[in-house]
Amino acid sequence: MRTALQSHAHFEFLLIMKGEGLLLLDGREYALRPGSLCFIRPFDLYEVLVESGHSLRLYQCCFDWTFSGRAGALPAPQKRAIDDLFAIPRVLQLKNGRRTEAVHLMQSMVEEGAQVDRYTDLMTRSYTLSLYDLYRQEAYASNKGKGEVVACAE
Amino acid sequence: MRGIACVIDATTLPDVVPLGADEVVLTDEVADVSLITTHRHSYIEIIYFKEGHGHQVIDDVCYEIAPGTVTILLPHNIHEIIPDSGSRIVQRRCAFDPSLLMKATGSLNAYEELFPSYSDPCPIFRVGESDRERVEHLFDEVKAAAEGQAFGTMSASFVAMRLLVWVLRNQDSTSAVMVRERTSSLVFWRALHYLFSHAGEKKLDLAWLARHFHFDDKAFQDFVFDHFDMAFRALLSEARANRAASLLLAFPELQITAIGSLAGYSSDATFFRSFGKRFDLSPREFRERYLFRTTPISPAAVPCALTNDVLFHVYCNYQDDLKIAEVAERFGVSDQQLNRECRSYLGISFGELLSLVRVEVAKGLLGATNRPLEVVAKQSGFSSPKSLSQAFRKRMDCTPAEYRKALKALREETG
Repeated sequence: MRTALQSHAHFEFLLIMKGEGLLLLDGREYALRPGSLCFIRPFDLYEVLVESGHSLRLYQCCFDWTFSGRAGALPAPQKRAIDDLFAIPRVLQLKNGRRTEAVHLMQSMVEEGAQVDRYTDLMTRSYTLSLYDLYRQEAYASNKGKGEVVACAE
Repeated sequence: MRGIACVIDATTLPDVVPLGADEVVLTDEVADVSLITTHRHSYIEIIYFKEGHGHQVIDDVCYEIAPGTVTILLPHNIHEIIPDSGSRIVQRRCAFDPSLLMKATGSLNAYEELFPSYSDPCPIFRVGESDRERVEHLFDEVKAAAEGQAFGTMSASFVAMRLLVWVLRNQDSTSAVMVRERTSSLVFWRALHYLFSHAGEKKLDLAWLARHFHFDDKAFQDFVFDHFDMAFRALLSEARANRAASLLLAFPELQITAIGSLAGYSSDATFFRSFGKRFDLSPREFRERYLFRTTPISPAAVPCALTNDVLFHVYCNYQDDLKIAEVAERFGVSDQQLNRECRSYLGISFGELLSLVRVEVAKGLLGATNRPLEVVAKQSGFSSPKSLSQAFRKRMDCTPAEYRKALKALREETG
């Protein structure tokens, strides 16, 4: 089973919770398993493959590159978002502590969405930015942090 | 020592100088807080009392401090902390400038939107046992994020927003015990809150406040003098200078003169004079000094809105025959300026940016479809298959056809 080939104008994080699969992205295939965190850039074409009869549970978090919907509001992260756009590893395998943290952030975002008030927007941005920071820190913490590449076209 | 990610002496928080743009000051587990005499400051401060007993006076009302008490002090609340004799007060606190709210929400009026009226939020309340863990956890999160700031990220300020929102959402829990009621008139404090949150309104003056809040202007002047030790005019001027300072930090792309107007000044001359008087710096010098004070980013690395807008424009219109002259005109700059902006913020020229985006799109199309190169070239915005091939080779080190073939082989192999 594979998802339809997708491409969209926003950033997206996918955090795998349960099951196994493959992410087809940028001419590479990445193994997906619990704790995999995928970073999808705007206009990336990607597919998620799951063996038939199996299922994959994941969190999905979408955001635009201003994080706040306003250009210039967050200069530093934007700059890095642009830097990273073409350089950052695409799939990370999160270890225990970081994985719990990422799950917590995703879950908090879901909870925020369930009870909307005038602070929800601010809170969601806050969680998204924390997730992005977590991703960057893990990505740069070690070069070995890259997800397992099972095949590469290049 | 002061700045993000550090634990500081509780008594050394700055008064006149606001906190920097990305700055969240944490004072962690300060034990044995001794008497903190009456003071005020331009930043927002959240205090959590972990241990000990005492009293806290906020705007002329005295409350009891007990373990689990949370206080939120808005800019220019006048407050003091008086520990009970022999009691050891342990507190955690977190402070940040209102500019952080502006940046986080992207709104010029973030402060007045989050704090619309004087009693909102209630400045002090107590949380139960179960919620104490939650507060501690939020402080821990701010601390952890602050320590991760070595990466130059902004998450500490955003995590501090989570602490703030938690406080705002929980302000209705059990209020702290009031020990002594206000002896001064509540309406004066309301007027002050209005003054500090709406300093940008040009109409604001003593007569307007007196009319709006129905009080005697003479009595209010006396009140201001009693509590702030200055004349009303000076206080208004200070409120505007503070607002200008926050705007300078929150909106680096805004022109200095625009900020003067947004801070309620009637003329540039008044703005520069009043600002200089308060901070001993011109608005420009102030911005240079305090913007990114704690995150060492060279000025050249600070992107402007222009590049983000350009990037967005390119992403949305890569299929069109985008000409640098037209794009530059659209954003009201010259060709050279646009190229310079692109180079300084993205490290590539405008032309390279365009080509990069188109190659990325072409890569996607090559992998996803069997469309002939002519169509792929057209759909990704290249004028011809030849220019697609050239750009592709430059970035990917292979031809579009080779790329497609490799991708296909890979797919077949993996089913």
